[in-house]
Amino acid sequence: MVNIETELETLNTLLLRMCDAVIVNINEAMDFYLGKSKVESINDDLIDQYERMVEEMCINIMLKERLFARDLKETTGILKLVSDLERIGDHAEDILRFAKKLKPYKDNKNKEIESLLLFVVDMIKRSIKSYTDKNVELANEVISDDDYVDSKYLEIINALASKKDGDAHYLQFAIYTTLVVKYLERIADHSVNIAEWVVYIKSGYYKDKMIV
Amino acid sequence: MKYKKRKIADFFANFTTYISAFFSILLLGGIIIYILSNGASNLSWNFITSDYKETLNVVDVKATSRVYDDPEIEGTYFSEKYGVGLKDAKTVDGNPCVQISYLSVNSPFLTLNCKGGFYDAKIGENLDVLMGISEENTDVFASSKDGAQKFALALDNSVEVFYLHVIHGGGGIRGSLLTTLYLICLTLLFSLPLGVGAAIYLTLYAKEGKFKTIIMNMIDATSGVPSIIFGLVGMIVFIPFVGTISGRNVFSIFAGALTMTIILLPIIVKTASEAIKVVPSEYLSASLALGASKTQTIFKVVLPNALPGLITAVLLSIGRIIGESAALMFVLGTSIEDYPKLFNGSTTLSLHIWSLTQAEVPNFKAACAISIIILFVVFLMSISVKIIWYFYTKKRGAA
Amino acid sequence: MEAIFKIENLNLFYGETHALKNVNLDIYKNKVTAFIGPSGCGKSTLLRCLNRMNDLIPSCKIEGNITFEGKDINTLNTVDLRTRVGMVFQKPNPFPMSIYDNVAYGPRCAGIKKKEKLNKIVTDSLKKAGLYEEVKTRLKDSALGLSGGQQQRLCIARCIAMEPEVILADEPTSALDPIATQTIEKLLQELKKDYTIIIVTHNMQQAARISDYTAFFLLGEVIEVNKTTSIFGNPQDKRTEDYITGRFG
Repeated sequence: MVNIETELETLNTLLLRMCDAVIVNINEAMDFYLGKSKVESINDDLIDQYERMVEEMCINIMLKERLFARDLKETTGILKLVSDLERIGDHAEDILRFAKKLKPYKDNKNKEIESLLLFVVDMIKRSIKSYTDKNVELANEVISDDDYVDSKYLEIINALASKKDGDAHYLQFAIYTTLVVKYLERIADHSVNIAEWVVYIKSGYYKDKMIV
Repeated sequence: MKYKKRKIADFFANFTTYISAFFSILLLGGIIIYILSNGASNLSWNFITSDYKETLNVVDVKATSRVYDDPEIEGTYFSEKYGVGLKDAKTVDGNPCVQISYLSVNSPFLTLNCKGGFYDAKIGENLDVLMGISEENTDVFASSKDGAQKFALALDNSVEVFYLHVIHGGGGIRGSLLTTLYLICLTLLFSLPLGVGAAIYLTLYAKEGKFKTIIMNMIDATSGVPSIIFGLVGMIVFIPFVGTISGRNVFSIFAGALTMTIILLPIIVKTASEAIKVVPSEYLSASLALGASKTQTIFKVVLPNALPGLITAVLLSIGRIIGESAALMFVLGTSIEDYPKLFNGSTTLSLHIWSLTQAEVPNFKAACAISIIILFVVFLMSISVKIIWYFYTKKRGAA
Repeated sequence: MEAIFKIENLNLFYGETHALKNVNLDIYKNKVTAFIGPSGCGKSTLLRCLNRMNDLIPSCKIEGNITFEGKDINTLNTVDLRTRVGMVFQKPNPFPMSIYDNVAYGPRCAGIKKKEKLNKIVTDSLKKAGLYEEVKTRLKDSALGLSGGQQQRLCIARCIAMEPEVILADEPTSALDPIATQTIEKLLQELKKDYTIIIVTHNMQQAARISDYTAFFLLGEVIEVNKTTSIFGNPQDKRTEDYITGRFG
């Protein structure tokens, strides 16, 4: 096996480990919000470390090897999607923080938000799967789901803003819930980005334009 | 143990090498020393430039009443009656003779009577066979064997010399030298274009195949034929051939040149072929890729780069021509000519040597002298090759 | 875009060996086309067909068609063809003559004798090849005293002195150090404006850097030919991709 193949294999293994860590964290945040678990903190530093390692490895590969065709697409694609992955990890932490703040309001559960949460988490998992399986169809699916998330997000925000109850507690509840929903929307965006880079790695097309 | 064995083997190998080298050098050195010691004394400007044949003039002269002053030159015996100084000398080919070394102004020897006119004696000419009449009317005889002193006395004794040999020159090799030069020029004129042309064809034009192999083998075979066979061919074929041009079926330098051409052709073709093959093929590719035709490539790139090799071929040929003897005997003849002509026979230097050794008294000293000249020419040529090589590589800028 | 060379169904044999198989290729005018591929796969052989240097090899047999500017090259006079299609070789091969004589060699063979004209041709060619400033004071010196990179530029100057329309370059920088290589690459890119250039190279980066079109050869066949960015970014054939990513060859 040539150098570049070994290096790309190592890179991929590292990235998969990072994906696993992100999914663990997002599951924890989701379970906490849904009241299913009691864990009060998740480790985002590990994900940040992974991101730095992946970036370093990509740059080193570019230093040493001459990259053409699939090697070029893979290395540059990974370099880009790793930052989206890291942002997802960050937002998982953010969701957990505000879910903690929402604990006293656990009676005020909103089915809409819960279903959006489940949907977005599924998006993340599908997006990561499209990378590990190098599945362009799956990636395209994720990309098209962005519209649904965006519209749901607007719906929820509008509903929260239009309630005229004026209760002081409700204000806190509304703000924190808005933030949670906001982060869900952001997570969905990042998942879409990852899916778009997966399409690029496979076909050279980024957002329907051949950039190589 | 093995080391010791190897040491002994090495020692023997070295020993035999040194011994062989020693004997080779001894032999070669010995021959050169023999030639030099025997021939050096004969070498002189006269030797190179004078005729071989002596010119003999039979003269008579009368003494006048004048008495000439003895110039008192050392080694010269003066005849006061005739104003002639004589000394002992050697002829060009080494025989003792009596030579005129001084002529007084108005000496009667300056206006000798000769059959059919006057003859003026010159310094350097030899005298022999004197027959005169003394005052007392007795016969006076003298010859070159008597030596200068006795000859001079005999002159002074004679009031009239009615028979005297005045001998001019002789023993020189000018004729043979000129013949050799003519032969070289003519042979090169014929053989170089033919040989180089054939080499160019064989290396650059001919296609690989039976035809080419046959020709190459034939050339190799011819170079092994003893040159005396070529001499016979020359005698049988070229002399009549030249005869159709010159009108006479005789020995001729022209026929000799044709014969030498055939002898040299294989050598020139081989050497020139090698010289051409050594020119890097990159130069050929570059030239052709620039749009030069094959002919232009050959004459502008291949031949100039093959020049050192071609010059070597020329110099090898010249050496061979000078050294050739047996073959030329059949076409040039063996009579020494003082004024060689292209369509007449003559002798080259090597044939001259042969001729000298066939006389009743073989003149080894003159033969050695000629050998020295030949050695010198060959030596000059090897040096020339080295000098040409040096300047050539310098000029081209050795890569 | 105009095709200056059209190669159709070309098959070439060295004796029994089938060296080029059914090659179909167009070479576009005023563009740099690169031939890439593993050693011994026919790139240089095809290059030499374009100026009929393969005619010099007796065992070589060619079937098929090559047209140069619309005319079959077998109907053109070889000497004439080679003045219009010049060649630069892998190992710089200046003649053992002065720099001036090297550049003037081609024109002189073509019959140009006038001193002023030759002077102009020599200076112009050396300037175009980017060598003039370095050698202008020693034009009469031997060409063999130049460095490798300078010698190769001299060969290029010698080639363009004939004002060809096409320059064939057979691995022109493989015998040179990196700096000299860079200079030659820059030179080729500049020459593209006036000449059509075909370059055979083993250096993938060189091909990606300087060529507009690339043809990938494997075992005597042209596997893929396309714009260079496509070949190196998104090759269609797996063999092409494997070669350029270094998986073999």
